[in-house]
Formats: sequence, C-alpha cells, structure tokens
Amino acid sequence: MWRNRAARCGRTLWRECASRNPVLVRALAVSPVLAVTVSLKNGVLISIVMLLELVILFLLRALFYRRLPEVLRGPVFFAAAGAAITPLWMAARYFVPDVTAAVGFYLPLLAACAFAFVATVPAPAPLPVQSSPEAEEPGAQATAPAVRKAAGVRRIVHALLEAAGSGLGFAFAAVAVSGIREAIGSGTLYDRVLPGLEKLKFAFLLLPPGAFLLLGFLLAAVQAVHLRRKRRTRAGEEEETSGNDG
Amino acid sequence: MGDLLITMVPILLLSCYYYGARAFVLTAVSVVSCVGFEALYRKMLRLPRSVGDLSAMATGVILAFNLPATAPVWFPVVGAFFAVVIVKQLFGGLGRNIFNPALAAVVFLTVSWPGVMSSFPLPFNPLPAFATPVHFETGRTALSALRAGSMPDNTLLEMFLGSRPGYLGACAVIVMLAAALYLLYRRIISWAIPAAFVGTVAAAAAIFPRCPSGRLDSVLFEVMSGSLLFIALFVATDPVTSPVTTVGRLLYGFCCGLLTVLLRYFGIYPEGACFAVLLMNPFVLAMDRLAWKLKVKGGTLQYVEE
Repeated sequence: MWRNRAARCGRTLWRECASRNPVLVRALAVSPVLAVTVSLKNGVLISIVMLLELVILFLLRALFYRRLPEVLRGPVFFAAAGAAITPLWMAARYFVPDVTAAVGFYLPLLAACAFAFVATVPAPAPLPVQSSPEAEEPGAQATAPAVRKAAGVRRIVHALLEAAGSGLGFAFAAVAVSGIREAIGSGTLYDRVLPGLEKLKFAFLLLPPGAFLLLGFLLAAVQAVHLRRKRRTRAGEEEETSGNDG
Repeated sequence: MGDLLITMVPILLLSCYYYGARAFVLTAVSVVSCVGFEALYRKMLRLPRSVGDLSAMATGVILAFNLPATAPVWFPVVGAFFAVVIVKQLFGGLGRNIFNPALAAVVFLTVSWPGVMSSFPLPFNPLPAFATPVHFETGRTALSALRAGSMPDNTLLEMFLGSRPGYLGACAVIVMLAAALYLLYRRIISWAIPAAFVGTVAAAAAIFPRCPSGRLDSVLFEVMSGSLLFIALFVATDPVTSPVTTVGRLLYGFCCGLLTVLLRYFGIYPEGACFAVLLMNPFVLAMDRLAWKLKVKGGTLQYVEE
C-alpha cells in the first residue's frame, strides 16, 4: 500500500514538473523567467521564493477552496497570494539584499504568477459526505469520520505535491535559462568566471530579445522530446496489438 | 531577384575599390552562409527546396553591404543564421516573413556587438582580407558629426562618390542612384516608397537642420549619409515586407522617414533607418487595408491563405 502511494506521489510530482511544466509546457509565469534571469543567482532566488509561495498558496487552496462561494474564490486567493509573498519578499531582502535589488519588482510579481498556477489546476475533489448516523449500520459508523479525515489528509498531501512539482518545474526553467544566459552572455556562472567562455561574450542573450529567443528554443526542444516520446509509445502500443493479433 | 543581384554587382565592385579584397570576402561569406543555412534548414525539416528563388543570395548581399569593412569574417555567418533561420524560415519561409531578414540581422549585430558595428575604417586603407583587422584608422561618419552638431569631415562630392567612412555597400550615392533607376525602369521596385522615405527625411532636414552651414547642406548631408539611401532604395522596397497599394506605400515611406529622423535626432544610435523600417514592417498589412478601404469605399482587404 505504501509503495502504491509512493508511486502515485512520484507520478504527481513528475507530471507537474515535466509533462505539465508551468513555464515550458503551459507557458505561464514567463515574465519573471525572461526578465530577471540574467544571472544564476537571480534564477535561484526566484525559484526558491516561488516554491515557498506555491506551497503556501496550494495549502490555503486545499483547505479553503470548498468553503468559499464560487464568486469569491478568485479574489480571495489572489489576495492570499499577495499576502503570502510579503513575508517571503521581506525575508529575501533581509538575507540577500543585493540579489533582491537586482531582481527588483519581479519578486513580488511572482505572487501573480503563483496565482496563475493555482488557478489553472483542477479543483480539489469534494470530501466524502458524512452520512447520517441512523441510515448506516452500527459497524460502519465508526469508519465514516475516519474515511473523511483520510480523504482530507490525502487532499493536503496532493496539494503539497502539486506545489512541489510546479515549483520544481519553474525552478528547472528559471535555472536553465539563467544559467545559459549568464554563461554565454557574460562568461560567468554564479559570479565565477568560466575560463573558456570569457571571450564569447554574446551580449544579445542578456537583452530581452535574446531571452525570448532562448525560451522559444527551449520550448521547442521540450515539445520535440514530448512528440518523440508520444510517437514511441504509440509505436510500442501498435506493435503490441499487432503482436497479439498475429 | 536576379535583377536585384545584377544591380548589386557595381556596388560590390566599388566597395572593393574602396576597401580592398576584404569587401569581396565579407560578401562572399555572407552569401554562402545565407544560402547554406537555408538549404540546411529545408533539408533538415524535409521541406521543398527554396534556394532556387535567389532570395537567400539577396539577403546575403544586403546583409554584407550593411556591415563596416572591418567586421570579423564570422560576423556575416552569425547574421546569416539569424536572418535566414530565425527571421525568415521560422516565420514560414519566403513570402511569409513579417520582418525583413537582412535588416533584422543588421540590427541584431548592431545590438550585440555595438563596438564593431560603429567603427568605420577610412577608405583606401589596406585591410587584411581574412584576418580581423585590429589597427586601422577610423573615420568619423557624417552622422556622428551631425549628431554632435558639427560639420561633417567629408565634402558633398566625397559623399556623392562614396569615398567616406561608412558601410560596405552604402558608400557611393551615384552608383546606388544608377542601380535604382535601372530597377525602376525594369519595374522591380516602385517609386513610391523611396520617394516618400527620402522626401520625408529631406523635408525634416530642411525644417530642422542639423548641419551648421545651412539648410541645403543639411538636406544633402542627411540624405546621403549613413545607410539611408541603400535601405530606402533596396531594402524598404522588398516586395514581401512592404505594402502593395500606392497609398499604402506612400504612407509606409512617410512613416519610415519620420521614424528615421526621430531616431537619428533623439535615439541612442547615430543611424536610424534600419530600425525605422523594422519598426514599420508589422504595420504593412494595416496600411494596405487602410489604402484599400480608402480606394474602395467600404471594401475590406482580407489575408487569404494560399
């Protein structure tokens, strides 16, 4: 049972991170990834802040999604995103003031991006309804609240996994883009000079159009990998069916 | 396309006369890499061959003519990749690109390596054919002089004949005018875009002169300096990225000229023509629609897929 659960957790994590990668597949939160990823330090900072923000926001969503009327869900979670980014931003300013200054206002903008992630994920499933005591047999009464509690815990765990997956997906995209841009654009990596690339300083990558081009090529590469995997699995299934017939 | 290439040959010969064999080497590298990248792209994606329409060669030639003679030999290769693969093929190939590929590559090179693109050698100086020249005499272009408010170093006659520091192909006004007259006679380019473009720049130079020696000098210097004439005659008239209707063409030329003047007077770079044409490229369809609406009252122009 635990191995099944672990496999399911791993599958959720991998799905959020790879096949539904928020930046590279769903093209959300592209703005901070393009604007501030001129150095690896910036990329790492926005990845960490985004991960923490997503964890907070997904948790709040798991707890309060069903309790709010449908009209209020958007505004409440948007305000919650803004409220959640504030302590994170202040902490970033306290711990790494120079990197936070370099990132500028794109750090609080991560709140809007986190809200976009949260708003585009399927709604949490309703918990099993607590049945009235008279209708049930005496033996089943004891399990109904336990089942509900387990479903609630499962929902929270699922939310945390989604948050972790989305955050890791965003982190992968941000770190990849910022690493490439810093390495080829300024010849350094995490402020350490790279010996071979120092001469190549290709300043175009540090400018916005270079960022757009780089992200476009990365998106194309991800799509190419997906297409090839899909084609291979489809070819594999056809082989299986033809093998069964023949 | 073939006629355009024929008219580029005298310009190439004159630039070889001014800058030596390096001009020919740069142009050859540019053409070969443009054609090579296009053939490679079409082959890798298993698309039908498109090298035969000579548009890649034209892109290569135009790209090379907008480089200074002291550009390294790998410069046109990088520019060719950007022009052919990213700006032309990734947008859909010939006839479907929004932006002029050669001009976009020139802007890309200007933005990425501004130091190289803004140092112009004096003509008649020996330059190595293949190696990157390190020590060479740089001249002050007329545009830099006008920007600083002083008289340009070259006389009007020198600017007309082309013995001035500038880009490879944008040097000799007299040859460019002859080439343009030939193309006009053969009905390959239209008169509307260059007339509106150059006319607007001339009018702005007459109303707001930058040259200290008077309005006529200002008009002549502004029109003959930089790559304005080359871009107005051969690049802005590219049939893919320019309007079709005459009114649209006039409007396009006027807007390009206006943007050129604004960028030259108030922008960061001394030269504004290449940026101006690129900025106006996305509006070409809208201009055609407007012209059609004016012509056929109540009519609309739709974009039809072939």
